[in-house]
Amino acid sequence: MFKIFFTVIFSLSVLALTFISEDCYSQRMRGSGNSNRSSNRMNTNRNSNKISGKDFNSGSKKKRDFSGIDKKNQDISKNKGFDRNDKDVNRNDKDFNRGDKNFNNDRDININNNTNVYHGYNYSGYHPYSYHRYAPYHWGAYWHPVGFFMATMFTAAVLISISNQNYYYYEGVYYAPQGSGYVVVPAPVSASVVVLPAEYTLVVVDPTTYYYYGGTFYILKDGTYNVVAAPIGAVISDLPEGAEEVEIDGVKLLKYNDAFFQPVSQNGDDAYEVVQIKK
Amino acid sequence: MIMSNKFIKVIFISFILLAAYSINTSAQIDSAAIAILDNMSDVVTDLESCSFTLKTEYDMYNIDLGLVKHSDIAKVYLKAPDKLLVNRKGDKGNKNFYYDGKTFTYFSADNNQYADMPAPPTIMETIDSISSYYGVEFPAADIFYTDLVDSLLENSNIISLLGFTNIYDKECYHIAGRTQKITYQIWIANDGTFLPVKMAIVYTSKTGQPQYEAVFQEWSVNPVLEDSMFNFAAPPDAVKIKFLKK
Repeated sequence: MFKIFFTVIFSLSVLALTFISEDCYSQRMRGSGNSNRSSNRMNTNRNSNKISGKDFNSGSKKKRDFSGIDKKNQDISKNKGFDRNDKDVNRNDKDFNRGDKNFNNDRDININNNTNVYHGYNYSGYHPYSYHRYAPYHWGAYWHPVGFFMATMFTAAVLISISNQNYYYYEGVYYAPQGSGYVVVPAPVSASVVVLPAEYTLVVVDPTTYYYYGGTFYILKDGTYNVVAAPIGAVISDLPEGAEEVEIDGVKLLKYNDAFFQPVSQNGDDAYEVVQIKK
Repeated sequence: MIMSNKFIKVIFISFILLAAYSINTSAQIDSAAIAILDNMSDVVTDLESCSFTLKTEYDMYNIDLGLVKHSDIAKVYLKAPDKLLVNRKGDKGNKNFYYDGKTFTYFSADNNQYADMPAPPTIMETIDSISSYYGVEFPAADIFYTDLVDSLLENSNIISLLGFTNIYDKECYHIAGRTQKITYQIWIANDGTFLPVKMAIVYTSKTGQPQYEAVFQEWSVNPVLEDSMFNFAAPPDAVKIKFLKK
């Protein structure tokens, strides 16, 4: 009997030891879960102009697929009997407000609840309606959604004055003075700037070419980018935080900055088409 | 028959233990923390040049005294794709590291000794190479790897945004995580820059659970750095020594 007991205990001990094998004192977090801490996934692009070796043609900021994180979290949900997945993925601003003055408490993303139904309206789009979940896109470190509050303004921000209202522009984001700080506002139509962040995309609505960044459309004229209303028919791949889901003509559209976006599929990828609604 | 019952009990208890282990190792990943880490990683890996001061405290195990704290301060200059300079002063002496794109040089100002070796053509390859072959750790190298967040996600059971903390009067996101071998914390500036301000690692599987803590100060983003500052010129009477493989 003891022989069997010790055999089982020994087996468990061997199993446990495989999980706690030593790693050298590397002063590193990366790869700390296994013994291989060399950079087998390191980007070694030798033509890069980045310290990290990141490919300078890699385009916009990382667009993380949170479904993988959901999958990881599912284990704990099952085991502990609570589900924090949806709350986490859609928490964005709400949970950033842990006593922080820099975030706006009053503005949560409106997803899947309190959908506004526009009765008596209809619309038409060029692409067929193809519903997909609204996944707000974050353009990078300097991009902030409408409603974001900052106590101080970037020193390199550009002052823009439109209709006696001052705005500050920095890296594709527009700020308006509010109280003791500045709050991100929708880009004021007719504002013009001379530089856009490198992550802008081109959107062609024949015959016009638009520049799109952070939920704002621009037209390039005489070397300046002029803010315009979202052009009907434009198809974009990303919408920022702050869009509101609305129901029109029996389908779910997204409303952002007074424009309506129909979920569509373009070349197999989720996209949005700007549509016009009519009564 | 009695032995058979006991055997079944032992097996049952074993399964309970394994089940408890699997529950303990399930992941709790906070997507808000990941979004902030992604922002930091995007900012840092997009840098074309930078400089910062890194104040480091770390524990070394002493058989008589247990954990003994050490500290050093390093001024770090980086310029893509192939320039690096570290001036490091601390308990372990004054050490300088030069990398000019072709050669990596270690210089001990205390002993007026230097060692050099041919180096790979990029900063990150060089950092990895000298760490792997010679055990020389570049200060806070983690943050410059493009796969930092992916690696943390892969290896962590828990990653959580704890809230906001002031580090040297700078408001920071406070993020903490745990892998099988370490717990770690990262403080990231909440000023629109998303630059790292502080990091701490506790080696939970090592004797005494030693800690490593580093504070980033005086960040300069994309400064103009002359190539000449990364070239090493041996001082008079400096003695050339050899790198010892670890």
